[in-house]
Amino acid sequence: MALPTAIVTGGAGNLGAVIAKSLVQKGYNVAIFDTDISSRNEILQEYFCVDVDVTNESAVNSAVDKVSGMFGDIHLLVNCAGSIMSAPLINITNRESPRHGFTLFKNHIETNLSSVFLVGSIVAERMISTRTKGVIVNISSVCACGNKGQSAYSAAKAGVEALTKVWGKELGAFGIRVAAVAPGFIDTKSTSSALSEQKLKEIKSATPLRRLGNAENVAQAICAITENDFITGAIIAVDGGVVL
Amino acid sequence: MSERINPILARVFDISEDDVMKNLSRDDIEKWDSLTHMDLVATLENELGIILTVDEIISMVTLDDIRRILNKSGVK
Repeated sequence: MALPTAIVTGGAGNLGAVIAKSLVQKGYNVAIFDTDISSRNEILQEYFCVDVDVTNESAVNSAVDKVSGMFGDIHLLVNCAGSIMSAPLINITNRESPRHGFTLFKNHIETNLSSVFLVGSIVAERMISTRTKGVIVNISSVCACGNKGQSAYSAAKAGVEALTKVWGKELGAFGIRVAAVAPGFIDTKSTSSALSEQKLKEIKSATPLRRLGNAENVAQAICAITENDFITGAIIAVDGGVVL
Repeated sequence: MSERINPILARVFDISEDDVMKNLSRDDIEKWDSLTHMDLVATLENELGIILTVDEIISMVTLDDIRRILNKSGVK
């Protein structure tokens, strides 16, 4: 029997690469959608990679065609592409430009929310047309409930959670399940470069489980969603209890 | 065939058993929008064990169209 096929957007990133590796271990053919992967030999050798901007409609259509051409039906999409950005709504110490930049806001909505809509809608259409009872997992964040200093990121992730619920309702009749994983603070390079040692200490002490999560914890949640065929529309928090 | 199909149509479109006997169109049935159309397709496929083509899905614009297409698909 042919292996099931998964697409992981942002699969060359810190979190995405761990997710991709877990899915290979679970027996998936994994295709990675990411940008600037031509020099990433360790990724190129392991996976079927497509260098694609996930906010570009024709590029995503063509990338999905490539995956279908290579592996056939698509059974799983993990929408992991995105970028974190922090900026206050009003920064009174910035005399020139105290307001959160509108272009900055729009760019991050495009990267973190529009991309999920675009890839999700294209893959859902393929799943329906091939009558594949597939799964879509969107990566949200604890920021979806509103994080100080993260207007764009929080709004985007709240939007991702809303899409997850809408799609769960709309696609369920076709046997397509949709869920989101909302990680808390995960021990990745981007977390340690974005937050000071002191801030990380504070976060750990405010987390009931007293530690940062790791990328494997997120990958495990995705695998659990794929294996449990009564989950849809759900947002699974993987945050050590930080939002309780 | 009608015994199997009409209860499905009445349930999906939320119409009476009398109305389901008529040749109502998308314009006549308030609930028949694009979302309900997708529900209709999924329900017919799941409950009758058939696969509809895109052309068939698009050409379902009246209740008689649906009955005709299902008849052609071999639904007894």
